Amino acid sequence: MSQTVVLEQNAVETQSITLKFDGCSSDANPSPIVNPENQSITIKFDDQASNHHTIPVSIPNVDSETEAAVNEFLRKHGSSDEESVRTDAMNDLWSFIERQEIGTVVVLVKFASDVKNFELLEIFCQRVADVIAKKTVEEVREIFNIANDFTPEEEQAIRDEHRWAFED
Amino acid sequence: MEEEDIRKWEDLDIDVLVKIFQILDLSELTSGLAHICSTWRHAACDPMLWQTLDLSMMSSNFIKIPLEPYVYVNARSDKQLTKLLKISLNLSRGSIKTLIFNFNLYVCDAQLTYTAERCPNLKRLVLPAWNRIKKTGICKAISMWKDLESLTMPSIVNPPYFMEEVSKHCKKFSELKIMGPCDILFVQTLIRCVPNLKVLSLRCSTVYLDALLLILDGLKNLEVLNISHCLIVDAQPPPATRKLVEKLDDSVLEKGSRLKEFFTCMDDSCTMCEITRRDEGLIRWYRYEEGLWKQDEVKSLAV
Repeated sequence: MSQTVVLEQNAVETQSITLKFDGCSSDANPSPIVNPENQSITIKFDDQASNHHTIPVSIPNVDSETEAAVNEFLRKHGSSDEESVRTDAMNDLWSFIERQEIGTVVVLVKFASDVKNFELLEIFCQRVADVIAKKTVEEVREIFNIANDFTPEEEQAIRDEHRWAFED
Repeated sequence: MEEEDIRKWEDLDIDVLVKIFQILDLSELTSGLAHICSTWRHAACDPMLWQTLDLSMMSSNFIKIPLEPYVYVNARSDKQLTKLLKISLNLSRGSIKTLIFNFNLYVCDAQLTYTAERCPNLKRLVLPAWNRIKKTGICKAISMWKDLESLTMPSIVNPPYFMEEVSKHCKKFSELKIMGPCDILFVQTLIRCVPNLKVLSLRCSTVYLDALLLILDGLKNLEVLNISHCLIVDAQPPPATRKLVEKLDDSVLEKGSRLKEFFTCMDDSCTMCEITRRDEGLIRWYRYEEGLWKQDEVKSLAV
């Protein structure tokens, strides 16, 4: 996916420009293409594959270590087409995520979904799935800080359903 | 600022929750996720999770017995299956299009009827073990599956009663896999009851030569036939003994070539061919690696 920005004449004479799109900054310094005819400058950010953000991202509500780990993954994963490099990047991120508390992973899942990065989403969703797979209802509620919002009637129906499932 | 930014799980896209649930296996999915809160319940019932109900990892805890139905299933094992069916079918809300049972999961009539009632939109059924199912049970189930297109079944002694029900209720029926011997009666029944049959797989079983010839001549709409690793038997009238056909003759091959796909394999060095020979045309799948029974050269019939 590439993003193109065209700047109008007056904006470009002597100033340096910092651009922000979708929460990403333009530290990557791509080369601008100048068009003297309409006096515009085009700056294209080319990603190496669709859905890859090789520009460092800023992630709200996580610590700097986590943000750095995600950005390291994006950088490494986007830097090469080689299977081994990409797998390494995924394994590194996976090891990091396994050590984080679940609240952080929740935030990361939401982030990955918002920016539509499918590689990140897959890793984070897998982590959440691993965590919830072996837990009881109460444990899951506690871990994710989820309130039981069923009405007493619904609760009773659920208990009945569970009991009926055990009967013939 | 912090309060707004910290999202609660309930605010997460249902789509993301569904994506997480898709990673889980059936026992994890039915273990209580639907009881966490109303959003999670909603996600756990999402149709995307319930297009296929795959019970092929479950086996009955059973012993063989010398009297019908020739298997006796441990009560606890039966209850486990019932429980899993109840919870899964409840969450699935009628979304299930493909239903897969293991080759040694011996479903009883009550379980089958219960399941059929809750899968009204079923398109594909893989049910290799009918030992505990009575004629009335399977016919009742078939009558509830108007959209059934594909069936994997064992060989049965009396095909007409069953195929007539298929003919009556399943107007879209087009694909059949028989896991067991196929004789001329079966083929005659197919021609009469499901003349629109497009795909037929008889792989790894005994197929009688006269039945094979009738398939090629009589099933006019057949497009795909799989007789890979079969024992082709030329049953001669007495006093001649039956003999195995080692090689298909040109007339058979020529007729087969008119089909869109004709899968054959009769090779001494082929492992599957050897297994079929060793088991005399009716493979005891439990002897071999798990999942071997699921294979089929016809992609749509592989599990």
